[in-house]
Amino acid sequence: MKGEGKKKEELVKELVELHERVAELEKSETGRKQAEKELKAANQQLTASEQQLRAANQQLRASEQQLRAANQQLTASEQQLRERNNYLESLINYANAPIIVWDPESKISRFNHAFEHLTGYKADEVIGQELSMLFPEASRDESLHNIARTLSGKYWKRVEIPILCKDGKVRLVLWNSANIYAEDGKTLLSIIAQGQDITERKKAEEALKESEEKYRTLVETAQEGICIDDKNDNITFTNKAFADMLGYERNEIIGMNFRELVDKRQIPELEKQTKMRMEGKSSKYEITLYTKNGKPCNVIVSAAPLVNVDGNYEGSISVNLDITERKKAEEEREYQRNYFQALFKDSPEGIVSLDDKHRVIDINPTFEEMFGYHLKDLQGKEIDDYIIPERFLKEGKAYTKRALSGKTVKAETIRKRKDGSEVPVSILGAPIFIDGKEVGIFTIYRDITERKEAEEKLQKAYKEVKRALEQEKVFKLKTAHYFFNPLCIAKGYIDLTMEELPEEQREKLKAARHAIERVEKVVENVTQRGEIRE
Amino acid sequence: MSRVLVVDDEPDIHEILTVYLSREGIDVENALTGEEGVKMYKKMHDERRIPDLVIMDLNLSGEKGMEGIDLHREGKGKRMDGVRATEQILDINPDAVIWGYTAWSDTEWAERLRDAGAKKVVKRLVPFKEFAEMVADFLEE
Repeated sequence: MKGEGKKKEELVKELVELHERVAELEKSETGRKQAEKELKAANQQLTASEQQLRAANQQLRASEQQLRAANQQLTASEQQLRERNNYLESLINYANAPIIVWDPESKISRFNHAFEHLTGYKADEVIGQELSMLFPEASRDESLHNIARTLSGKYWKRVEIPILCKDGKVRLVLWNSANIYAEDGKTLLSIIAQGQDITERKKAEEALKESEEKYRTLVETAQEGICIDDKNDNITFTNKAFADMLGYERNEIIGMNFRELVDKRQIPELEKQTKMRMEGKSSKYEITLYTKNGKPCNVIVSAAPLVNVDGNYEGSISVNLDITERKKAEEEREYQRNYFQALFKDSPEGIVSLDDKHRVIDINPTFEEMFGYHLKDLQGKEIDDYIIPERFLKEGKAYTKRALSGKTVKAETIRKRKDGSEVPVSILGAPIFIDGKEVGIFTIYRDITERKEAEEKLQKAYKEVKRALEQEKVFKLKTAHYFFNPLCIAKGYIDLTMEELPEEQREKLKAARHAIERVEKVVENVTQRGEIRE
Repeated sequence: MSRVLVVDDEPDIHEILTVYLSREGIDVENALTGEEGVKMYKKMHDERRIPDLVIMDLNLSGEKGMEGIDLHREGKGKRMDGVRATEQILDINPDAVIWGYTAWSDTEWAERLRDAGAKKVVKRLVPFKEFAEMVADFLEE
């Protein structure tokens, strides 16, 4: 276009010169013809030049059109470039992720809104500043080292970089970065880094880790057996307590099916529970497992379903509390309760249970029968007001006082029935202590009417027997006296007589003396041993 | 010479015991009732002829029937029994030595005699000769 411009000017200049020469020719007659000729030639030339000029002009117009078209194309490109630039600007500025750009001299050149939000700095506060201002002192060197690696052409691959905020707080950012080179592909223009604030996530991860550690410790140190099984009831995890509870090593029990551990009769219950788990329900139930050495182990199972992220059932987790001993103790307590209940209800002795104010709590059937009262007549009432005859009130109050002071009362006395008749009873009152505190009294009444009658009869019989024995004894003594004295006298005289007789005459007296001794022996045996013999 | 007072309601006992005790060199005095025995002991005591031993029967009633003996034994009879005689002799002389020699030796009556102060109660079944030797041995000691 420029070349074409110059040609046009030259042509115009030549045309002017020609006009000047025509003028000179006109001035000169002589040369007029010549001039005419020249003019004609010049006209011809001019015509040719005009034609050339016209052609050039046409060419110029075409070039101009081309130029205009090129200009339009350039303008469109510029527009496109501007739009793209604006787009990128917006993209960087309004991206959710913090984006920062710095030049090779580590001067910050771009700082998007997300970064502003992250750090509290405004872009104009940091643009042109050293990049290092964004790193806390403690980790600055390491961060700068990573940046240096970036400058050497290496990429960060999700590196955690602590960022120092304007308020002094530090946030942890997970970074990706890239170098931006010039068209030559060698000259480093800038470095762009895109971050992701993972401070909260990191905290959450730490908290989760800590929480997991806590739960792990909790699970491992729990007294209860904790067990995880899959949807087919295969055990996939247990804590030590669960393995210990059943006498297995953990590696032995993991992989076993729960059905292998449970009492066969309870498999339907186990299946029912598994079904509940599959329906997403938690539950608590009691089941009997068997230890490795075949002993039953009563367990309360608290189980909950385990589902994956898609909400599909994957198994269950259960907390298993060994209640074997508790169960035994409960059974023992139940047995004792029933035992004492039976003892109370079926006792042949009247029993009344009193509270610490000596008011009736319960009476047994024998008591009802013995005194004619029903529980409704006496419940909550002072027992002494109902069954103690007037003349025994003082004694009864003394017994009550003794029992309420924690002492046992044993006595035989008289008590009164509902109809006013009296009944001889033996009383055994004993305090009831629970945890060292007296909470009431048990009093046992035994109707001793028959025993008293029997005792009286026995006493009477005893007296009769005693009198008879006494009489017998006296009889024996008297008998002895009646016999011994004369017999002794007889022996005495025989002895004396024998001394005076010659030996040959003594024999008959000796026989007589011997006969006396035999009688003495018989009398002695009868009187002292009750036997009639010599 | 040792001296013995025999208190017994049987004269035959007196006679036989006297023979055997005399052979042992013992001087014997006899009383047929408790009252007589106490009286004789008092007299001998006053005369300073204190018996070295009193041989005391329990039944001093002289009764032949059991009813009378029962009353006597119970202290309700007319005469004092061996227990009361013993008590009264011991009242005279607390150092008096009294032995029972009786057919009632195994009875509560004999216990009362011991309680009253008799040092020994010998069964009447012990022959007189043997009893006399026991007395002699005791008196020699």
